Amino acid sequence: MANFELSTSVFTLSEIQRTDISPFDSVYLGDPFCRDYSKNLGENREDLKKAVELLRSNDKKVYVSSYSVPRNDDLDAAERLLSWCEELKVDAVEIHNFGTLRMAKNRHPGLKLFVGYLANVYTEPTVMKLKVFGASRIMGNYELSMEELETIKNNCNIDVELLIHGKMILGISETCLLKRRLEHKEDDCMDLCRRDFHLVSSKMFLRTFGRVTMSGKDVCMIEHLPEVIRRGFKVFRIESFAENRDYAGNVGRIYRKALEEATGGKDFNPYNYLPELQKISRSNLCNGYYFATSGQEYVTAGQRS
Amino acid sequence: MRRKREKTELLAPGGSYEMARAAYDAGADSVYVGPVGWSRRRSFYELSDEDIKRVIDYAHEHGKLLRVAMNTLPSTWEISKGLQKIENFIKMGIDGIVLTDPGFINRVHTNFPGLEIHASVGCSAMNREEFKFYADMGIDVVTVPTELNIKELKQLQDDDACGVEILVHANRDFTYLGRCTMSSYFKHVWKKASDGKNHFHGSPNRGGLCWRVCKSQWCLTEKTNGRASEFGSPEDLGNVAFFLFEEVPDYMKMKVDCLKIQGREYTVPLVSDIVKFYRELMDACMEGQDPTSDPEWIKRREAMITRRDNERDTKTKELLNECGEIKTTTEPVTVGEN
Amino acid sequence: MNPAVPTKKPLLMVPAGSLKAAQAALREGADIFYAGIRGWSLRPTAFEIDETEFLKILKLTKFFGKKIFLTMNCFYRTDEIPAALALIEKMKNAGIDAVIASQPGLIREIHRRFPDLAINVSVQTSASNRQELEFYKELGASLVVLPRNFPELDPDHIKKLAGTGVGLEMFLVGDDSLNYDGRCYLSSYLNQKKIKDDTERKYCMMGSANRNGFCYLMCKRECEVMEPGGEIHRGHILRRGDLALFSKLKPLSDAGIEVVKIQGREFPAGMVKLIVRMTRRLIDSIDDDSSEKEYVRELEHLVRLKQVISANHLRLLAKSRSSFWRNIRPVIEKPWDNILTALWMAFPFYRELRWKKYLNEANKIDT
Repeated sequence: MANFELSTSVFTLSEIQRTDISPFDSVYLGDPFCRDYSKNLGENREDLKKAVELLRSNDKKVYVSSYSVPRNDDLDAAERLLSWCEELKVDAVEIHNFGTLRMAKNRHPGLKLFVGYLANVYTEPTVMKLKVFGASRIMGNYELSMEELETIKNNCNIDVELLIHGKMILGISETCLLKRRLEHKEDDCMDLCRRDFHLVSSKMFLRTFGRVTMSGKDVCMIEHLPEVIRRGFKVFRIESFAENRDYAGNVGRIYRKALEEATGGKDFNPYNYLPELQKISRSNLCNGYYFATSGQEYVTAGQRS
Repeated sequence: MRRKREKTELLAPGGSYEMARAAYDAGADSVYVGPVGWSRRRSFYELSDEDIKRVIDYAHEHGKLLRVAMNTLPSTWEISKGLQKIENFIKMGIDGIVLTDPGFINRVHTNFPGLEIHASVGCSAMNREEFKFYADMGIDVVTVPTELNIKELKQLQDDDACGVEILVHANRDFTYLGRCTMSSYFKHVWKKASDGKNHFHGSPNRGGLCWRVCKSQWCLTEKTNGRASEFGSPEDLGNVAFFLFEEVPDYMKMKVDCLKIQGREYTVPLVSDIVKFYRELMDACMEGQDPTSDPEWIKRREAMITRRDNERDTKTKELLNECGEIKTTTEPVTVGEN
Repeated sequence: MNPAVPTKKPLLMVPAGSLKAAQAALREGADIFYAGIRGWSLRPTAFEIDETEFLKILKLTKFFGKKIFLTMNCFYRTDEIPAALALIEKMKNAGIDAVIASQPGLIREIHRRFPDLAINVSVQTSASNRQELEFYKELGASLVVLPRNFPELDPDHIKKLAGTGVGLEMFLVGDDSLNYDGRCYLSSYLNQKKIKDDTERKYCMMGSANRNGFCYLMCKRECEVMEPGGEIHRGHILRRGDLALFSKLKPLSDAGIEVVKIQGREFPAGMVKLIVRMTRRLIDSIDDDSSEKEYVRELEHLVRLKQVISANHLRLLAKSRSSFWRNIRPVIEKPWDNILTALWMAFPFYRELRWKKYLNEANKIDT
C-alpha cells in the first residue's frame, strides 16, 4: 500500500467510463459548481449508484462533491444528495459550504466529511472548528502557501489535500458567463462549458468553465514533489474536468510513478517527467500560490532551495 | 452580543478620519473603518490606531457607533496578533467588529463575548443553514451577498438566526464575493508591514487590494482543433456598481438590522452626499412616505450615480495599470507651450 | 465664484510644501492648501515642488473634498507671462480652485482667460486700503490677503475694509517682516544672481524676495550697528518678530476675516502638523472662551519652536561663504537656542534633503 493518495474529480458517469482511472486511489464524483450540468452525478441517483459500483469494483475510494454555492432553494437538493451518499455508503462527501456541512453533521452523523477549496479555509482556528463539525480532511484555499498549509496540517492533526496538477478555480459566479456572452436563452445550455472556452485580455489569459473561472495555466508541482513529501503531505489531487479525455489518465500515470519514486526513497528526477507534462498541458505551467507568489508564476526547484 | 435595534441602522464607510466624520455629520448611525492591513481595502483607505481613536471619540461625542472591519482572511500566524488588536480596540471603546474567518470569529466571540460581531460580505453566507453555522460561531449580524433576491432575504430575516445587513450601495461582483482569487492570480506580493502584518498585496481576500482584473476587456475565444475563434467583442466580465433605491422601502418594512453603504475608496464629498441621500430616504420611509416615484429623488440619485461611476472608472483604470497588464488609456493633460 | 464662502468660522489655509506636509495638514483638518510649482512662486526653489508632486497633492486634496490654490505670486518678466498662463491653464484643467497672484496685469489676464477660476491676491501686493481692495475686485479677484505687517491689523480697521465684495484673508502664523511685503529690496541689494530654471522657461532671480522668493532674511539677523560716536549696538535690530495672532482670532473673524493662512512651506511635515492641529482646535472652539487660553499657550510654544527653525535656517545660510556675511556678521546664537536646535535636529524628518538643497543653492552664489 502506497503511503499517499492520488485523486481526481469526474462529473458524469460517461466521463468515468471513458477516463482511465487506474492511476488514482480515489475519485470525487459530481460537479460542485453547476446543478444544470447535464447528467451531473450529484443530481442523478441512478448514475451515482452505477458510478459508485463501478469504482468499487475497481477498488477505488469514492467521494462525492456537493454543490458549492447552495442558496435556500438548493438546500433540499443538498439534503437529498447527503442521504444518497449515506445510503450508498460512499467513503466521504466533499463539502464547500458551511451550511451544508452543518446539515450533514446534524442529520447524517455517519458520513465522513471533507471540506473543499471553495469553503475559504484559511486559518488554523477555522480548521479546528471544522473538525468539531466532523471534517476529517480539508483542502485549503488555493491562496494559502505551502508553509501555512503545513502549519495547519501539523497543528490540527488533519489531512490536508493539495492540488498538485491541473487548473485552479479562481472564482465562482452566480450566473453562467458563457450563457450570457453567447446570448444563450434556453434553459438547456447544451453544456457549453464542455467546449474549450478561454478568456483573453492583453497579456492575461484565463480558462472559463461557465460559472467558474479557472487559471489559464496548469499548476504543476512535479519539480517540488520532494519538498511536498518532506513537509508531510499525503493526499494529492489532479484536476482534470476541464481537459480532454486523455488528460487525467496521462497526468495521473506520470504522477503515480513520480510519487512512488519520491516516497519510496528511490532516485527521483522530476526532469524525466517535466517535458511530457509540458507537452500534455496545452498552456504554460505555474505553481499556484504555494510559494507566496502570484498564482500564475512558476518557481523552479532551484529557486526554492 | 446582538444590539437591540429599534430601527434600521445606517452603516457608512470611513476610509479616513475625514470620511468618517463627514459620514456621521451626514446622518450615518454608525461607521465602519479598517485598521491598516486588516480590512478589505488597500492601506490608503485604512486608518491607524490613533485615527481610529479619534473617530471613536468623535462618534461617541455625537451618540453614534463605530465598527471596526477586520474582514480580511488572516494567515494562521496572525490570529494572535489580531486578537491583541481587537482587545486594544475594545479598550478604546469600539461598538462592534466585522470579521470573515469562522475560526477567528469564534475565538473573538469566546474571548470577548460582549462584542457585537458582524459577518463580512466576504463570508458569502447565502443559505439558512449557513446563517445558523455563523450563529454557532458567534455572529450577530450577517452581511448578505448582493446576489440574494428579496424572497431569500425575507426567509433569512424570518428565520432570525442572525440579523440581516444589506448592502444598498456597493457593487455586484463577477463572482460571489470572497470566492475570487483572480486578482492575486495575476499579481500577488507578500509584503510585511512594520507591525508584522502581511498585507498580501493583490489578494482581495487576504490583503484587501484587488486589481479589478474582471473589469479589463476580456475576449471570449474557443479553441477547436488548434484554432482559436473569437465570440463577440471584448467586454468586462461584469462587475457593476449599484445604488439601490426602489428596494429600500421594502427593506425598511422588513426591519432589517442594517443598511450598509460601501465605498471607502470614493471621495469624501461623494460619500457624504450618498450618506445624506440614504439618511433622508430612510427617514422619509419611516414617516410612511414613498419617495421612489418622486422625480426629484430620482434625479438626485441619477446625478450621484454619474459622479460615482466617473470616480470608479478612473480608479479601475489606475488599478489595472498598476497591475501592469494594460497600457494607459488616459492621456495626460497637454500644455500649449509658448 | 468665491471659494471663501462666508461662514461663521474662518477657513484654514495651510502650506503644502511637500506631499508629506500636505498629508499631515489634511489629517489635522485644513480646509485650503496652497503650493507653488518650482520657480513660479515666492519661495526658495528647494521649498517649491515639481508638477508631479503638485498633482499628487491635488489629487489627495480633491479626494478629501478640500481646496487647493496654486501660488503664482512672483513678479514675472513680460516674456514669462505666456508660460505662466500656460501653467495655470494646465493646472486649471487638473482641478485647482484658485490662483494666488500678485501682478495686477496677470490677475486681469487670468480673469479674462479663465473667468471661472477664482483669484486670490497675494500678500505681495500689500493691499491695505479699501480702494485697493476695490481695484483688485475690478480686476477679477475674489480674495485678498492683508499684509502681514499691516499695522492696523486690529479688528476695528478690518471692519472698515469688509464689504467691498472681496473676501479678506490674513496670516495667522508667519514672519513679520521689516518692510511691507513686496516692497523690500534689502536682500537683492546685497546679492542677486540671474539663473535659468531647469525648464528654461523662466529666470530665477536668486536673492530677490519679489522675483524669486530666495530672500536672505536680512531683517532677521542679529547685527552690529555702529553709531557715529563709535558705540556698538548688537542685537535683532531690524527684526520685528514672528507673527502669531491666535489670541486675536475671534475678534478678527468677527470683523470679517474669512480665511486665515499659515505661512511655512519650508516647515517639516511634523511642524505643519502641530501648527495645523492647534489652529484647527482653536478655530473649532472659537466661540468657547474657556478653552481658548490653554490652546493659545500651546500655540505660543509652537511659535517659539518656529523661531528655532529660523535660527537654524540662518545657521545653515551662514555656512555658505557669501561675501555679504562680512557686512552683517552673525553673532553666536544663544546657548538655549542651540540646545533646542540640537533636539530638533535629532528628529529624522528634519534631515530632509530639501534643507541640503537650500544650502547648496546658497553655496552657488559666488562672492
